[in-house]
Amino acid sequence: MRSLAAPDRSSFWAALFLAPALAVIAVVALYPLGYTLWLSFQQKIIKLPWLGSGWVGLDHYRELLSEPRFWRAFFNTWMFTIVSVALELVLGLLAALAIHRARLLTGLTRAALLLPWAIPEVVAAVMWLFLINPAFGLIPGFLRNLGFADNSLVFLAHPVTAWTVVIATDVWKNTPFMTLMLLAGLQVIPEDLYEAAALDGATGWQAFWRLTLPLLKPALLVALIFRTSQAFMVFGHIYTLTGGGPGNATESLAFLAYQAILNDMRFGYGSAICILIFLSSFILALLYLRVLGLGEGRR
Amino acid sequence: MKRQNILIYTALALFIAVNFFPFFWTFLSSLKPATRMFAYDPPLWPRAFSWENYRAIFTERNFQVNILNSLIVAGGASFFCVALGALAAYALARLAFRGKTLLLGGILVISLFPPVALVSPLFLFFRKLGLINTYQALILSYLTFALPLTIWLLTAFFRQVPWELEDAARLDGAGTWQVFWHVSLPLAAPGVFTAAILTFIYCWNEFLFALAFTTNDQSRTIPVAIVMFSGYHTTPWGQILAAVTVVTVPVALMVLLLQRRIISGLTAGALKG
Repeated sequence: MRSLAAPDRSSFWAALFLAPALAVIAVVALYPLGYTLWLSFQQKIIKLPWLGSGWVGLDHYRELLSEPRFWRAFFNTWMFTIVSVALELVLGLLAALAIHRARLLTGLTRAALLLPWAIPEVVAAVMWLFLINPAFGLIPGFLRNLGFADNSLVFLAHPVTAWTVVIATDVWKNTPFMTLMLLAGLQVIPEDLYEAAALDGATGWQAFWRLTLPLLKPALLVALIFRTSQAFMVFGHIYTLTGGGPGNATESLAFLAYQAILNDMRFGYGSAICILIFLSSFILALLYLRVLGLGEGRR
Repeated sequence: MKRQNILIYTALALFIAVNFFPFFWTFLSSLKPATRMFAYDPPLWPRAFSWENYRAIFTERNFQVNILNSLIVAGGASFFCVALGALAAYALARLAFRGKTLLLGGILVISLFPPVALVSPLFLFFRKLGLINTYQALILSYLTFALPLTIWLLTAFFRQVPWELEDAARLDGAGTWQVFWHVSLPLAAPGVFTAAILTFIYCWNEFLFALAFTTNDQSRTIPVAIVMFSGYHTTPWGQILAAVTVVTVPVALMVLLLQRRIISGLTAGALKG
């Protein structure tokens, strides 16, 4: 950066400016995170205090890694993350390219894209629960009228259809966000690059692979990793739509941790799940940092 | 070429219709009288309208209390985030000190924390301090994800403020604080406003902490209240849909009026680095 703008006492002022925010972050985020780690080595069950509390070392982790329910949630979380984000990426890219090409980025389009993003995830989930209600929902009724389904169609009663609903509604809510991010990326690509490519005889397809995609990479990766880390922590969406059911078929890791902590009041065990989630998202975040390549000079 | 265009327009029209339709259907269904609610009712336009569900959520359920809770909690959290975040972001964008890259990276990592990892310690603290069911508990817990996000956004916005004006002020003898307060902050005001809107939306939509740290109807925020409308045996669909409509209309207006700002905020961290 520039040295001219860095007066002598700059780092003193920097410390002063940063202190309040960093103090708050340390108290409300870092200290609790450390406490979660400590709790994960502890026996602490508030509902069953007579079991006692104290140091249990890696017992919770050992217990977790031998539990089918944990592995199911682990698999579910990765499956949900990969399938949802992949679908959102493909659909979002198609929509962004179409909107960009048709020059349709009007106020109404922007509003249509922002609205699903701006509402709470549980509100979106509730609207879709109404649409798929087996008795009077529009979608099962429509499928019945077309002859594709009979009265026994209850989306949330079978693992496969329940997952279809969970993923489809997540795709509905988040594809517009992906579209917006990619549109922003498309808009900074200079038009004349395409004209030059066309002069060189490039087909539309070649221009897409050789020009659009490489130049879109920064926006693409940021949107992708942002969505991936969000999808990995999915909670409210599943809590509202399926409550983890049928059985434990649609439990995510965050859902499992929440149940362990606030339903069963197993703070130690639940914290161990949280630490495992944290490690996974930490890896995702490091990936994010690498991709962004936090250069100071970029502005 | 022409056929391709028709295909594109059709697909886009479909995409936008799919985005809007659940809102449209929710609104229409919220106006159906209870007797029509439980029939599969394909006509898009209901045969009879009734405001009964809206009356019920504000008289029987005190939904206005939940709206007020959400306003206070999201407003309070956004206020603290912007006040603390603007200072920190200015230092990160403009002042020279060692370890800046590391600090920025650390803040980004914290903003990607899984919130559930903080539920058990925060719950135990709040219980010990008697803060369950209070605004303080929710505002404090919202700072965990919102403050790093605000700092990150504001850093991007402060970087866009031209150096020349700050240098000129400095040459005129202004100190660091005066430059920040009288030059940079006013110039970054649109960015600060954008960061405030985004932080407000994220806090307004938060579900996990609001669910974990409240136990009664009076303390709940909107998202939790709506989910809790359902009892063990009955689901008051009409009231749920009315509540969804009531909270979606202001969001829709905001999105229409402030769309450019919101999008500039969403893409600020991403494209400007």
